[in-house]
Amino acid sequence: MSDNPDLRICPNCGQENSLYTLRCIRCGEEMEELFQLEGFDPSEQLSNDSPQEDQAPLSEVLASLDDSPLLAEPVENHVDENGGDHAGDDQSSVVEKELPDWLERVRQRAQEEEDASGELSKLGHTSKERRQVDEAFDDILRRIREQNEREKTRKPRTTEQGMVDEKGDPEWLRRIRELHPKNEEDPRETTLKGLPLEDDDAWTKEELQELLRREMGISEHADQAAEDEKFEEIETIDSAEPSIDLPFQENFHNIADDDQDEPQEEEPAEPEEEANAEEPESFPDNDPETENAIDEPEEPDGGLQDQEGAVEQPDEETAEEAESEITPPVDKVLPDLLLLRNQRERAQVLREVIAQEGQRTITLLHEPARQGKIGRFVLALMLILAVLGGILFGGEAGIANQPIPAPALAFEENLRSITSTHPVLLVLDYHAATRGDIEPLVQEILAILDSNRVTTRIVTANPENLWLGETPDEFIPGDMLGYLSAAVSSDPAWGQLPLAQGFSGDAKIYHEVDQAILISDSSEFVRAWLEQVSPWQSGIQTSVVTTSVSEPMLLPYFESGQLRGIIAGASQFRALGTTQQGSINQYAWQAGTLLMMIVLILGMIMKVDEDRQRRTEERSQ
Amino acid sequence: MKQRTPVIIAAVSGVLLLVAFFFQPFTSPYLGLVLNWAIILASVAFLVAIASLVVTHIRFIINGRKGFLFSLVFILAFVLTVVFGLYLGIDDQQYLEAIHTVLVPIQSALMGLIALVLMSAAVKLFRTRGWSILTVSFGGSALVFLFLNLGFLRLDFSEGLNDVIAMVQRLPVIGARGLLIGAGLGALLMALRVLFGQEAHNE
Repeated sequence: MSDNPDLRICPNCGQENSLYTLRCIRCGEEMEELFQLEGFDPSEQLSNDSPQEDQAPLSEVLASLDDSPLLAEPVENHVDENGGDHAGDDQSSVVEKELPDWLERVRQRAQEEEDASGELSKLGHTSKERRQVDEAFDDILRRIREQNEREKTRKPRTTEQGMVDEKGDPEWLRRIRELHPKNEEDPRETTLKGLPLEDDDAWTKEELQELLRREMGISEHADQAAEDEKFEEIETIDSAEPSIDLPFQENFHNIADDDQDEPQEEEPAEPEEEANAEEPESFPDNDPETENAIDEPEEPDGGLQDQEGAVEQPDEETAEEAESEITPPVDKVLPDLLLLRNQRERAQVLREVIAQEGQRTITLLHEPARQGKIGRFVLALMLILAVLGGILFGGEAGIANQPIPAPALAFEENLRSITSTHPVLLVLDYHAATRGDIEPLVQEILAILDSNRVTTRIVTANPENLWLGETPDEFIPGDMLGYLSAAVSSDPAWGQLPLAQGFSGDAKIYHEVDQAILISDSSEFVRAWLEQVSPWQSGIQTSVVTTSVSEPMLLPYFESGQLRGIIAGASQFRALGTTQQGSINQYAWQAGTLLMMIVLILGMIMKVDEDRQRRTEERSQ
Repeated sequence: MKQRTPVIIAAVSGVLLLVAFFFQPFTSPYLGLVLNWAIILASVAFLVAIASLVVTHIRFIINGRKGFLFSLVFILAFVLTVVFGLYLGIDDQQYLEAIHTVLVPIQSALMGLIALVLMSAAVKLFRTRGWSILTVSFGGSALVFLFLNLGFLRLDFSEGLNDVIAMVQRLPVIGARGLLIGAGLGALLMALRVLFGQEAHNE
């Protein structure tokens, strides 16, 4: 036995079953132990061939059965269930009327004779009487079994009686409807709904009579052919009741399996009874013709069954297939566990979610990042190869006779015109990254000024230029404020200004200066100089050496006359004369610019191709 | 009042400097003195910023924050630069060459990366932004002016075409003028807002 008193272990497969289960939910083995009576072993009784040994236990059993509460209990229970509608006396009288004759004779003789068992044992020596006794015993066992089953199935019904909604539908019916929502619109169900549902929840008089007649019919159907017609009517009504149990109902619980299997346990019924038992499953709707067809023994061609669809196919194979599709594995379902369909679906979803734990279910948003890195790597290689190719394989022909811009020509003209003895102020403000674009020009400018014997004063407010210059420059603290302070202030009467003490040379950087050349890669610096410093030093003519990037922003100042000239980048080195370094830088610049143009065109082509593909897909859709 | 104090100081300083600019040369010594104060304050603020940067990276190293090795490299480079600069002096040739050999490759590499990013952006521009007036005008103008500035287009046989090309090449100047005028107007309005204390309402 199981450790749990509410469960019973199947002797065949070891599956735990409900206490009241008649058959094992796994292997279908019959759980006969439930019906064992105290002090009585039916197997031993049946296997014993000695008539002398049969007499004593048989008499005891018959005597105990008369006093057994099991036989008297159904009458009382029916009375309780039906309330005061049915009197107990009426029921008992009905039962007495329906008792078989042999049992009545046994009781009469038992009351008249002192040793009834002895007389019976004497009479039982004949085979005919022996067979009657065996049949009587089998009938008693069958009655006990069926009464247990009735009682078992009645208990949950009585408990569910109180769970009725406002429409009067019991809970089990609501569960069935929830399990089969589509069938709610089935016209056949409307017919079934028309039946009084209370009949399913309580034992009615007809059901009790049916029960008794069935019991009697099993034992007496061979002799009572006259009552077959009544049986057909009763069986028709009775077989219509299970039709309320919609298809696949047995798949969602393990309690009613016993009820479903019960007809298989019984002895083979008459062909007419089988036909009556199967017909209710096949009628599809409440069509009068169809209802009349129920009485017919067979359904022609199954035309009405086809209307039912695959749900109610009488074929056992198709039913088993459908059952296997919906029914979960039995060993995975706990006994007495009732799962609704939506509950099973939610459990399945939860199971799938748990199974997907740690797995990537959606594509990453930044998945193309790897492709972007590869694309940038390819672009970098193209850029490097282009610049190297321009440097290594470029020649004079590539840049020959390019027109020199007007600002560059003005700068060259202004530079060569400086012949005064006044020093030229060179203001450095560029970074190491642009030194290749600026320093070749600065070297040429210094050479020209040196050839003209012009003195220069190189100052910077950018510490970086102190490290870039080959010769130390004068550092002006305060960046543009330092230049402005030096341009604005004059020597006060009370002494020197604080910053004057920080200059390594003369604090008056603009003293006797009439030419200033700004060497900067920032148009902002040049603009601040022209707008803040130059107004205070109006006698100083300013020209600029800058990069190609800053040139467009400074051209307005050249056109307005604030700048004497602009020379921008290595592309305009020819304004000052050809140098080897300047040529190399210009080749690289041209190659890089060409590559930039190609990439820009490539981006346009890719966009056009992408749009064309999208349009093609849209048309195909 | 606590919030208005900086605004009042800024407005008064701006007014005094404006007046000093108008009453030259009588106010030039005072103007130079005020500018010297501003430079000293800015230098002190710069030192404070350097100290804050160093302390922050030291804190990163102590806490073992992710990427603290970069902080370690920064602190090491800063200490070496300061120590050797103070010991050898900024006029020392070896010191200048050492800084030069580090500074030039780093900034050149940074400039190359900028060029690479610009190329990548040129490829992705139309795919990400699509076809619009902005993207089409940008791409077209970039192609035209890059090609013209390369100097490969030679139209010596026709003076008229040369004039047309010259006019096209001056188009960037028009744009630059617009930018400069806009920047000048913005600076003027900002200065007036500071002078009249209107910036306090936005803070």
